[in-house]
Amino acid sequence: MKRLRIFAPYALAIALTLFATACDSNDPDLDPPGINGAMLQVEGGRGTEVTISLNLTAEAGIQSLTLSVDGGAAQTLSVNVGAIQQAFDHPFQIPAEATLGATFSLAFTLTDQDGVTSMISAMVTTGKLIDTPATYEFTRNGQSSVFYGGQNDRLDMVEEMKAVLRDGDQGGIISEQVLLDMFENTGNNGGGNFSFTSDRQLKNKVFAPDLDDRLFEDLFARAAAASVIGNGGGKAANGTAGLIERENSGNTILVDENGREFTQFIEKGLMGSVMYNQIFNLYLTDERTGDNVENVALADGKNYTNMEHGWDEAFGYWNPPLDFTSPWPSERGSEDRFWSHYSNVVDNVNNGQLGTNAILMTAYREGRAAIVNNDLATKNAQRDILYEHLELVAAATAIHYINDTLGALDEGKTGEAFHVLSEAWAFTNALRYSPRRTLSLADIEQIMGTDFGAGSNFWNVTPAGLNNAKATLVNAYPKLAPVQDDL
Amino acid sequence: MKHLPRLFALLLLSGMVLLLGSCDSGGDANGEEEPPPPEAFDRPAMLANIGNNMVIPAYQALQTAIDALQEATDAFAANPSANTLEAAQQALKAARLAWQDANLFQFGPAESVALRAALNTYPTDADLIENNVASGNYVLGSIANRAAGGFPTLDYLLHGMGSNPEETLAKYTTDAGAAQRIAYVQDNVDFIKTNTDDTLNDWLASGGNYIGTFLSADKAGVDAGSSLGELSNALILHYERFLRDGKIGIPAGVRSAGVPRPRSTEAFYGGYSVELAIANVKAIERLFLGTGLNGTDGIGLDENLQALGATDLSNDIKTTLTATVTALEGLNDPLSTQIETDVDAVTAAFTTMQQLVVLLKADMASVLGITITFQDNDGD
Repeated sequence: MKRLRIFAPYALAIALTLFATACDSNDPDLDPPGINGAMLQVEGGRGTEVTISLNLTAEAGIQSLTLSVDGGAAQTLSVNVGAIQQAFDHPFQIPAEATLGATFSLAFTLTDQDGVTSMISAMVTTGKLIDTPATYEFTRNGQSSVFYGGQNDRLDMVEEMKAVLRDGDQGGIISEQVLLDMFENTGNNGGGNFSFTSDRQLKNKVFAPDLDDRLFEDLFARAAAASVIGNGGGKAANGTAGLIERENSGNTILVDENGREFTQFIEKGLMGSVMYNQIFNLYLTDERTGDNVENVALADGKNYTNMEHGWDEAFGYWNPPLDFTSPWPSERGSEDRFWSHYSNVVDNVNNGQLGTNAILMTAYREGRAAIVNNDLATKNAQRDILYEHLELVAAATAIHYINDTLGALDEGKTGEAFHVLSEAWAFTNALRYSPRRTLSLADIEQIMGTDFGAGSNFWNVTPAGLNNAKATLVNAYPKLAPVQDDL
Repeated sequence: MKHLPRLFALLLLSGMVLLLGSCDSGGDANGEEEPPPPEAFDRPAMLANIGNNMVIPAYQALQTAIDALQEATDAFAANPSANTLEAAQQALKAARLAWQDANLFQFGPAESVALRAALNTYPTDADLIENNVASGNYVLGSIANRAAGGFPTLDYLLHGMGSNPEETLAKYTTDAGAAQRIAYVQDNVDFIKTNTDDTLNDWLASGGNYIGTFLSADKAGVDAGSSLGELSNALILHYERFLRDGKIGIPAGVRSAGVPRPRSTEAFYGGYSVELAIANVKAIERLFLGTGLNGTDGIGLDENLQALGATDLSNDIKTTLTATVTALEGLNDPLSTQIETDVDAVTAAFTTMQQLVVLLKADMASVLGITITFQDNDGD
């Protein structure tokens, strides 16, 4: 009587496997004559080696053992010919390019010296390499695999440009050339105006149509001209650029002839035209994080794959603290920047009803872990969440500032109204940059060009127009309906 | 190999978390049960009295007065005469008096249409009004035209066109711009009416049902978004900035280094600014006492303070309200003339008015547990 017995390494199996194995396993007392075997299920991360442990027995003596993977050509494995029993470990390398859940069917065929064969199948399933970490920290070989230095640099550039614009708000003269040098990063230090050096540039990341329109260059020139008026004591009026006082603080802001604050239009404008534009139109697109982007080989001289890096750059333009969540403690309020800051502005409204910090942060972490695990479906699901909720943050922030503008109008405060309406304008404008935007371009144009003051003139804004804009936004983003008056 | 234990651990942990979670929430629920207040006070009943017997009736009375104003100005437009002009002037005054009962409630619907800014921004900008009349190109309610719309603009148009009714009438009969001027009057009445109608409809159960929101359990507390919180903040802000300062202090020059600004009185051209101020203080008095617009006494802030053991404070506020009315009654209309001839009496009235700010903003707010959420911008 020839017998072949293979023992499954149970510790490795998942619950389902335990169940399946229990059904298939052989009761030694009922062993039929000849050769038989049991099914094996093994799981491991892509690129890792798993071991299939077999116990070979053949009363006639072992002759040979062959293996066929996924029905491919059989390869002969080295065995102790003539032995009656052999513990046999087969190492199997799960391909690095395997996607999560990919299975490999391993068919082992044992032949005894009587020429009788018995076959056993093992199933190797590609599992997770890592679980999703609690913070946005990912390593490979003990080193961080996350890098978004270019995004950090550009955020710093916007911050330092804002400081120049603030000077104009306070009655100083703004140099158009300084703003241009910072925008183009002349000489890798913004023409000497940055406190740091960098080989990155804001201008080459601007939304192409804005670049075509010379949107920012035009704002720089107009801000510079207006700052001369402000410096001479010129007060803003309908049709005249100049300074206007914010009633709550007594500080002044520099506005154009239509009451639009240059600082907000440029700073928040770059948040849309560079940061959201780059997230929406580059890093979350198939070009950088699609299923066909390289996710096996490391980028030249780097510790990340191209897909990992694309995702990290989308994260870098959001730029939150690595352990960002909802609600975010106010004592750490200075750690979020630009868009993550505004996520936090709307996050905790009505006891956390929007919760955008955690939703976005979770999606970024899950997506990044999914890329490590080559779990493309999960990665793509997180992209959808990011597109939806990044847009939602812009819409919610726009409503937040519309409410502030209504409040300022209610109190008859023109300077306050122009400041917050400039913010509302810029956050509405940011909705333009998502290719998946819910609000139509026509609606965006109606809000910015008419609802916020006929003829794109803030001096013409009315509560009725603001309420119309708010209704349009709430209609497009139903999640904001319950919090529309609390934002 | 290592995934199985981890998975089990995770399941185990989540089970524990669930268990712990349910224990926690039970504990929380117990912790949330506050002991009953020392003396039971029916705050919802007070809010119902305020909402149903003061707020909505005040907007309804305002709407009625504005409808009458519209009839009067339409009659004036159809047939400009000394009689129709006087009727329009009287209707304007009646509407401005009705506004004194409604202007305390600048939150919710009134806030979302910026009702106060729309109806009662003063002083007006006569040049801007004349430009608008001449050009016919204007959007009422815009920032640009804030000082060229509402009641004060009608004050200028119906009273300020000349030194006697004949001169005023001429602007609406023989003047080259007569037709545009009467159109501007009517546009302003429409503008006032639209904003008032919108506010009232938003309050009514048959409309936006803000009364339902105002009386909802969600807003029955004393936190920042509560009905009492919003009402108190609106009341105190109004008293401090728009009554004490706007109606008396600013025209008397207390915000301009003692240099009086008589043209900044509320009814500069009609000359009944003191009367409006007194009506406004009396409206606050009614709100405090819980007296409905029809004169029926109900549960007011005074009962709320008494229930919280602050009977002395309640009495102080009543006494101070009476003293404030008395101080204002000592002033003569037109207030602008009073300011020019005896500004000391006006600043003395302002000083009396100051007392109520402390009582309402510091003491009453503290006893009620209300947080003052509006920003001070004048240093007091």
